[in-house]
Amino acid sequence: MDHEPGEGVARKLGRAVLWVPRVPIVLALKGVRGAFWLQDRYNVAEIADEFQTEDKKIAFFPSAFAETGFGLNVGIRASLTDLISEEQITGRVGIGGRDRWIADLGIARRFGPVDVSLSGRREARDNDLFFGYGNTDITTPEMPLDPLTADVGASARFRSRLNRGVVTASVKLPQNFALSATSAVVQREFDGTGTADSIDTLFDVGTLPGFLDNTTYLHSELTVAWDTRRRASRWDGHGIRSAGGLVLGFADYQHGLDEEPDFVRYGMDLQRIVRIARGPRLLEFRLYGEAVTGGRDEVPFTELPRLGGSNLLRGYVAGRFRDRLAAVGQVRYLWPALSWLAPSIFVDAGRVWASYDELSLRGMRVGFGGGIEVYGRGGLAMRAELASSIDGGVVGVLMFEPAFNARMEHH
Amino acid sequence: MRSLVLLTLVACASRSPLEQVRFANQDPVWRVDDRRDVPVPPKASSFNRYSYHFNSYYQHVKKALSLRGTKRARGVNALDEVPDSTWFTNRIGAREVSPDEIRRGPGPSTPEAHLPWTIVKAKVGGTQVGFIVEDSRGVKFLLKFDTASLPELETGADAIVARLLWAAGYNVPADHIVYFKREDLKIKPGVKGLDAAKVDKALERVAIENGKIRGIASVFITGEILGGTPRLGTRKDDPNDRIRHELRRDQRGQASLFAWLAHTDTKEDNTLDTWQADPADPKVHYVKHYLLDFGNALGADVLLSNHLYLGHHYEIDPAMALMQIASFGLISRPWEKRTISPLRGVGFYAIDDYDPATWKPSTPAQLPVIWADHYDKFWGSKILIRFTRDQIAAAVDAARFTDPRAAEFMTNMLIARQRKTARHWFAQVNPVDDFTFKDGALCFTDLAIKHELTQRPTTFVVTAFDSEVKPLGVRSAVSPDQLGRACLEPKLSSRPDRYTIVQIESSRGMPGTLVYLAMANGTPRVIGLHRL
Repeated sequence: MDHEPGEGVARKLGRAVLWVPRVPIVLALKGVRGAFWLQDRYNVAEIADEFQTEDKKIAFFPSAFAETGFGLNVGIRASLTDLISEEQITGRVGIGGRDRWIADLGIARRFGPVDVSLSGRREARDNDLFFGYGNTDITTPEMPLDPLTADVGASARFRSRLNRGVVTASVKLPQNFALSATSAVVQREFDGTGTADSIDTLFDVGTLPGFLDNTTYLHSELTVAWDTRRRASRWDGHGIRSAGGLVLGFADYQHGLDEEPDFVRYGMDLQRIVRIARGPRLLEFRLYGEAVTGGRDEVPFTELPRLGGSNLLRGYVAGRFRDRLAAVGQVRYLWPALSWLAPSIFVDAGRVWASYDELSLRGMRVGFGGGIEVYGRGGLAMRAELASSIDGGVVGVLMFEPAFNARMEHH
Repeated sequence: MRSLVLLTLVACASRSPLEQVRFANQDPVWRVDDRRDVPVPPKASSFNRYSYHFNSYYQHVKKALSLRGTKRARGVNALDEVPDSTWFTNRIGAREVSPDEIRRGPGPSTPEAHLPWTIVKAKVGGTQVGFIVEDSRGVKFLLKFDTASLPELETGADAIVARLLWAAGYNVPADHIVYFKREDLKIKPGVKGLDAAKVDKALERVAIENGKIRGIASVFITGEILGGTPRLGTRKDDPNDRIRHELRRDQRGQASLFAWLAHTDTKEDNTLDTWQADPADPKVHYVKHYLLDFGNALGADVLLSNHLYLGHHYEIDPAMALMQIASFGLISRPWEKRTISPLRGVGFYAIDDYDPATWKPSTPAQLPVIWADHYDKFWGSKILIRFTRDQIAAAVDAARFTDPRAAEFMTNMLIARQRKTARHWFAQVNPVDDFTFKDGALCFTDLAIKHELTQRPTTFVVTAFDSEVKPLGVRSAVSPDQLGRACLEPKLSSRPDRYTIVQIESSRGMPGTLVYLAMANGTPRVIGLHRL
C-alpha cells in the first residue's frame, strides 16, 4: 500500500457517511452518462436532423412553456423557407395547460425593404383567468360580483375560442427606426368552465362586455419603433443585449364588426439597457403603458390592458389586473455567472386605472424576483424566473422559447 | 514498470514518512523498458465527445463523494524524476539542447523547401480549412491555416508551443510555419470531393498577403493511429502500459507547463497514441504517446472564441457559477480587465491576470492535469525554468511573426510567465535538487536561488537519521552560495546497512526534503529522494 497523505479516521468516517448518498448519485449520473454514450455511439441527436431537410428549407422546432396558473404547454413550430420563391411559411401547433390546443399558419415574404406577412390562427383555451376589473384584492364572494362596479375581485376561469387573420407590413428604416402596419380580424367566443371557479359562478357575466355576445373586431394598427438594443462588446456573452434602448409607440383602431363599439388601444414601450460594468453587468429599465379609449362597459373585457404574468408586473399571475389604463415600470439587474449563463433580479411596479382622472401612484402593486437565462450561439435559449409580490404568492415561469414582446402576447 | 520504480513506499498511515519511505540501494532508473514488442496493434478508440465531457464531471463528483485525496504520482525514479519512456524523453536539462535545435523542432525538416505540394485529401473534422498534403519528398503533412481575420495567431501559437513541449520532453508532431503560393499546391488526380475551384474557395477564408499563403504544416506521425491517449487507466491490450495514466507524473506534470503556455485546449482529443515500428528494429512495435494541436495556446483561444475567461475557469464551471450567482456579480473577475494586444499574431497572453495556482484549462476533462498535485507542478516547473531566453526566443522565432515586436513581446511574456510559474511552485515544495555526494559532502542546489526567484536569505537545517530513524548527532545548519549551491558533511549511520536519511529543511518554510544515502563500493551515494 502507498503512503498517501490525509488517510485519517475522519476521512474514513466521512467516506462511510457519504456512501449512502453516493450510491444513488453515482447511479443517476451513470444513467446520464449512458445517455451521452448513446448519443456518441449512435448520434441520437441526429434525430433532430430528421425534423429538417438537409438544406434546412423545411424544419420543425419543439417549444415548451410553463407558468404558474397554467402549467405546462408544449408545441411544435414548423418553418418552410424559400419553397416557392423567397418566402417563409410558418406553422405552429401546441397543447397544454393554457391552450387546449392552438394552431396557426403564416407566410412571410420580403418585397424590397418591406416584409409582408399573412397569418391565421385558431385557438382553444380552457383555463384563462379573470380577476375582475381594477386594482382590486381577491376575495371568495358569496354572491356573483358585478365586475364593472365591484371593489373586490375573485379568481375565476373561463374558456375562450379565437379565430384570427392578420396581415402585417413592416419596414426597417435607417437609424434603427422601424415601422409596421397591421390589419387583423379577430373573433372571440367565451364560455364558463363549469367548475367551482368558473367565471359565470363568481361574476355576473351579464354585465361583462363581450362575454355573452362574443366579439369580432377589425384591428388597424400602426407601430413605430426606434430599437438600438444590441450586444455592446464582442466579449459579452452570445445573445446578450448589453446596450441600447427601445422607444416604441403603437395605436390600434379596433372596429367592431358585429355592432361592438369602436375604440382605440394605444401605448408605448420604453426600454433602456445600461451597461454598468464589464461582464456585462446590466441595468435594464422599462416603462410600459397601455390604454383604451372606450369605457369599461364598452370595451370587451379581453381587449382591456392587463398586467401580471411572465412579462408585465411579474410576481402576479397572468391577467391579474385589467382596466382601461395600465402602466408598469421595471428595473432588472443582470450579471454574468458564466459566459452563457446570466442570473438577474428584478422589481416590477405597476397598476391599472379606470381612467386618467384616477391616475395616482397610490396602491401600486409591486412584484420582485429573480431569474436565470441560458444563452446559446443563436441567442436566448432558456429563461426561468421565480417572482413574488407585496401581496404574497409565488409565480414561476420556465420558457424554452421565450417571447419577450408584450405586444405579441396581447394580440 | 511499477516494479522498476525504485520508490518503495510501505503502508502505515499513522507513521511518518521518515519511517515509511525506503529505497533499494541501487542506481536510479533513467530509462523505462516500455518498448517491448507489441505484435498486434492495440484496439483503436474513437473520441466520444459528449460522454467524454460529461464523464469529466462524473469523475469529479465520484472522487469528491469518495473523499479520496490525490494520490502521489507514479512513474518516477528514486530521485523523483521521470525516466525516459514512450511518453517522455528527458531533453532540456538532461543534455545540451541548442536554440537551433529548438528552432528546428522534432522530426522531418520543413516541407517549404520541397515544393510543389500535392493535396491528397481534404481534412476531415473541425471547422477550419485544412488539407492533407504530400511534399516533393513524399512526406505527408496536415496543412492548416489562420483565419483571415486573425493572421499568424493559431499557426504561431502552435509552432512555439510544439517546440517548447518537445524540448521539455514530450512527443509532438513536427509543426512548421510555411509560406507558399497557390500555384505550389496541386491536387492529386481522383481526390474525392476536391477540385481546384473548391480549394480556391476554401483558401478565400485564410490569410493571404502579397500572393503568399501562410500555414502550418504538421507532419504526419508514423504508425497505426490508435486514437487519443486514454486519460484514465491503462490500455489493457498494451502490455507496456502499466501505470494508470491519471497517476503518471509525466502526464500530471503537464499542469504547470500548460499553465505557463496557456494551453487551455487540453483534452484526450488533442493527444494521440500510435502503434509504430522501433526505428532501431522495424520488427519491433510498440505504442508511442503524443501531444497535438497547440493552436489555441498562448491566449489565441480567447480571440478565437471571444471568451475572456479562458484560463480562469471552465466553460461549465458549477463552482464559479454558484459563486457568481451568490455574489450578485459584485466581485470583479480578474479576466474582465484583459486588454487586447495590438500586435499581429499575439493572443491574450499576459502576466498580470495569470496565477499559476488557479490557472485552469477550458474544461476539467484532462483528469491527469486536473488532478495534479503540487509535487507534479513542482516537477513541471523544474523543467520549464530550465529554458533560457535564447532557447525561448528560438521557439518564438519558429513562429515567423512578420512583426518583430510580436516576437519580442512573446519572448518576454513567456519568460515572465515562466518565472511566475516556477516562483509559485518553488514556494510550495522545498526546491532543493541536483544532489551529489562527493568527498564526504552532500551537496545540493536551491533552484529558487539559482534562478533568482527569491531574495529571501535562506538557511538549511539538516538532521540525519539511521535506518531505525534514530537521530545521528545534532542538527546542523548550512547556507547556500549565490548560485543556491550548499554542501554539508552529514554524520552517516554506523549501523551495518550504513543507510542514512538526511532531512533538509529550508528557513523559507516549505516542508522538508528527505535524502537517502547508502554505501556503494565503500562510498556513500544518494539512492533516493522524498519530498515532504
